[in-house]
Amino acid sequence: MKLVCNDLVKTYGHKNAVDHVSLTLEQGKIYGLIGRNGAGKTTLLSMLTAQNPATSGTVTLDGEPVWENRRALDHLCFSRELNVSQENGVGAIKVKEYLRLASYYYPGWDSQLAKRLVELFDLPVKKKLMKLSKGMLSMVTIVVALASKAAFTILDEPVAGLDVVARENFYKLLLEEYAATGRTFVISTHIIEEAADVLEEVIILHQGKILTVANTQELVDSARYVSGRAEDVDAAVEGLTVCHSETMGRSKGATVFLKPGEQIRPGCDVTVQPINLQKVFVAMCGEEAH
Amino acid sequence: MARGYRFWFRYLWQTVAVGAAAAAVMFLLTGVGINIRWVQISGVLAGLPYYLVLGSAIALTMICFTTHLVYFPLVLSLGSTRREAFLGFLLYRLGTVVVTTALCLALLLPTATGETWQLLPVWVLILLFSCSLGSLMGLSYQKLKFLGILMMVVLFALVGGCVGFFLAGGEAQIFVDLFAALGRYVVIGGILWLLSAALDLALTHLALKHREVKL
Repeated sequence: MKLVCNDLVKTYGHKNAVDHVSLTLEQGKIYGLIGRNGAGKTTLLSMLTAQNPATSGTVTLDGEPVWENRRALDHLCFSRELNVSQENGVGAIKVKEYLRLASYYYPGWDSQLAKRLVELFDLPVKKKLMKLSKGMLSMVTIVVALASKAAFTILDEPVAGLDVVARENFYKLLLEEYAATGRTFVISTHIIEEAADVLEEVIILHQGKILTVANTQELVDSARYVSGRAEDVDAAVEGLTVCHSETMGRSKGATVFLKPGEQIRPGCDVTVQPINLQKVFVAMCGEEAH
Repeated sequence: MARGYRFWFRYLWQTVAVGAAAAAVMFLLTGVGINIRWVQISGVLAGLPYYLVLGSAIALTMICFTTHLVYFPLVLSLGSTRREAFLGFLLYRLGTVVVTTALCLALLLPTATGETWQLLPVWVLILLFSCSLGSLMGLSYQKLKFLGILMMVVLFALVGGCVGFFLAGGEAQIFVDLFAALGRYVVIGGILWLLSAALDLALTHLALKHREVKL
């Protein structure tokens, strides 16, 4: 099963929030969608799950359009961040009621799992959503996502507001569920480094465009941070793909991506360090990114 | 597809319950208002179906209004198709009208006369109008908040005035007279309802087609 979007565009006014995005999500993987605020992550995910109409482009699941297609939607779950501070009334719904409503719509809904997660997170089911803290709202979205048992499950900022223990618990649960079912998860997050070990593939979105879709480990392995005197750094990285550089007086730092067979020029007086996913992301999406 | 309808049926029963609760409150207030005496209780009881119609009309207006702001984004976020949401909303409205009317008839059966049955179209029209009005208010509020709020203020001032008027009088005869008076304009009312329903459904369909989910 494949979820494919082709040349997807979403325009607000004159701005393309999502700008000609083509993407294929395969079954049995955990994808991470990362991007800065306003990069278009939620808009893209909303269109992938037919929650927002696209300005142009198509989204298909196994070749069938997702839009207005019950069969396709049965395999998709987009557990979006609940923002109950808005005066839209969803906050007046109790946790229990929200979970019950979710159970109506997801054909594979696992009541036992939902119950177990509610107990694990110690969620106050009789409370209204508006009475919950940000962390607890995130827990509610996690319960819906995991209990939906949808083949493609998308979580938008699932760890927002969660403390470090709860975040660890979430990733553990996610991996358990992934190992047991082979479902596909797409996780949009700003807490990149914590998620890096869990994400098999990473999708980096910047200003509505996809910068890269890559295996997380391969991407991190290919990135190096080269620092030293500016002229030495320039000599060391000559001919390589430099995605970000910064100059501090006579010193310089550059982030490069090495293609197979490429290496930093030997003999230059520079320091070469591996970098983590977060640094890769900053290098690609930061202010001075090339 | 039936799964999605469970959501709307759930709200159908809740609306009927809210309508019945509103009717009960009005009924009790009337009882207190006229300093209940056994001789008058039968008169008050006879008014119960009318209270039920009014209570349900208020509940329908409110829930149809809220549907645009809360329930549509909610069901779409849970994976409903827009077609299911639209049809579910229609079924919910029709179902509530049918159940409320049936309840009113059941309450009226013991004392029903030929004149009472003639009022049936008026009840149904009031309920149907409430659905369209609530939905149009929700659409207006969503697009132009000021217009939506203005419509709400006018509506609730009107409803509040009517309820106060009825409660002051107490006897069911006031309802019978009023509904009978409305019955003379049932054809015009029907045409007006058809126009408002057509406008409401067309706009709701269009709005749903372009609706973006924000929770």
